[in-house]
Amino acid sequence: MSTTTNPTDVASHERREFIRATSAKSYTRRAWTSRLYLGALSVALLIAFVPLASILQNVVGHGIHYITWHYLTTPQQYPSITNPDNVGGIGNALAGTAVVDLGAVLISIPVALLLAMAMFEFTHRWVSAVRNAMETFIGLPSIVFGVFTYVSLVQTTHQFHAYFGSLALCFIMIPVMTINALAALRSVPDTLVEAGLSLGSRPSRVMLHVVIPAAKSRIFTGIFLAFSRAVGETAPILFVVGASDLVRFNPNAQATTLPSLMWNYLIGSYPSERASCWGIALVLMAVVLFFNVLSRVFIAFSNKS
Amino acid sequence: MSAITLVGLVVFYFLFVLAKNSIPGWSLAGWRIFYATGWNFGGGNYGALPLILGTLTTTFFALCLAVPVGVGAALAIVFLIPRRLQLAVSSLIELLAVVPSIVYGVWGALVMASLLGNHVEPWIQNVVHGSWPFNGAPTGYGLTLGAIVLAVMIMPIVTAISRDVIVAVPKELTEGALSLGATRGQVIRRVILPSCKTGIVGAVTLATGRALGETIALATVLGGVTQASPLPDRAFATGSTLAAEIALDFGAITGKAGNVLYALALILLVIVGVVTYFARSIIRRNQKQFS
Repeated sequence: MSTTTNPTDVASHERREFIRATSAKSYTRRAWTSRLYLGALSVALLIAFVPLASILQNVVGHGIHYITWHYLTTPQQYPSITNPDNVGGIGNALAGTAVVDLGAVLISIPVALLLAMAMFEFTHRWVSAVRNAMETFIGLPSIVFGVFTYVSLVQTTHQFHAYFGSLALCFIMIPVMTINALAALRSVPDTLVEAGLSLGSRPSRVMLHVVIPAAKSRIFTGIFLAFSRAVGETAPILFVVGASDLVRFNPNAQATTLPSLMWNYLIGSYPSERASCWGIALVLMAVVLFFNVLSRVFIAFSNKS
Repeated sequence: MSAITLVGLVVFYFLFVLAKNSIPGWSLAGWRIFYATGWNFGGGNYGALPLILGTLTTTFFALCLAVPVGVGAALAIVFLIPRRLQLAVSSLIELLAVVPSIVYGVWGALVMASLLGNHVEPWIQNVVHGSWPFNGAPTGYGLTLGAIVLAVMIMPIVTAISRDVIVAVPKELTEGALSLGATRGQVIRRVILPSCKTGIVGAVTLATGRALGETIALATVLGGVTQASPLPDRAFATGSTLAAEIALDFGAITGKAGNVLYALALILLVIVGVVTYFARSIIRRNQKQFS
């Protein structure tokens, strides 16, 4: 019985031959198409690096010789026709940025943490509504927050304050921090929470001593991420912080920040001002990158632990 | 619970304040704000059609530039770069996402503008003999430069999200196709791209939202709405966008004119709000697909 060839085997043998032949016939064409595809992808990757290289080269190349202690600590000067190169330093803007951003962080962190904890604890339809609102806020144009802050604070008080800028930046920072903190809290294993509760701890105690310590590094990631985004924001604070050419750390006074000084220099009329933009750009990039790298370090740290 | 209610109230208050303050602006500008040309804030011409069109065209052409490059770069990172280097390469590209927008503004106005105006645009005009859409004086500043700067800003968003979606495609699909004799190009074209479609569309919509609202990077590279260029009808036209014009005109507010800018902010908010809403629902649908 088994010595005769099974008719189905013949068919499958012929099928295999047919498939092999067809595949071989088209193989050269398909291989070249594939090479074309992969070549196009490599070109896309190379193109993606061109602007990055150009920006870094220009910012570092034009900005590096500005970076002196004197430039960083003395306030800005005003160029004039008789003295067109008199731009001074950026000390006032550096101080203003420190005040505005520190204020924003001090307001945002407790609010974002409280919100995240509330959204973690409660299951109410408001929770997903707020989450949606937060995600929408992340995508909104930042100039809208500037307009809102101007309308609701500057227009009603007829004054400019550094802390108005802090409040405007909160619109940028709180959503990013809250979404990240909520994700961090939810990433803590349920077993840990349940173990804490089973020991008779109150939910608040479990939150403070179990959930938050376990989620700590991911919460910090969100904070640094939000901060690195807010430092470079120009549009929300441009209209509300006023201007100051004194190096001072007073949230109640007017302030000039790094981005707003850069904006003024960019639309200014002296070449020395536009050249000074590169110095400010380098400082700004260094600050932003520092906090971004810090957030990545915390991500790596939280993945390890 | 009360904290959450508070945020809800803040959101409603936010919309309420913007809407309320824009009312005098609507009555000052009238319906002209939607169809009249020649926006001139100081001169009292509130025809915002060139701003609306400028917003839409710069965003559209930025997407045309950024999406193929961004998705291509994401595919290249996943399929061509050794696994050990993938994180480093994608982090480098995501570096572009954290560059402050004012730095893009400086780069665009001080570097790219002279490059385009002195070399690239005259060269293109020579090649096509100045026929439409490449007619008119090449100034460097304008909607072309705006689209390029925007493209550079949104490309890392497209790359980062596309990469996440591509990595999430089940290994079995790729391996199945390869074991049937498909080439890598066929796998990308027939397996990866179709199964990533909704995710990539989500990334693009998110990038669109970012591009529509970009303010500071564009304000100094677009050249402004002028008599010579009342509408963005050619490649080298100067112009402006809704967001950029709000920033540029805010210093010159007198009387009720400021409320017209709040009306612009509201128009922008509506456009962006609609786009982000769709982006989020698309991304969420895609996440469900693979989890």
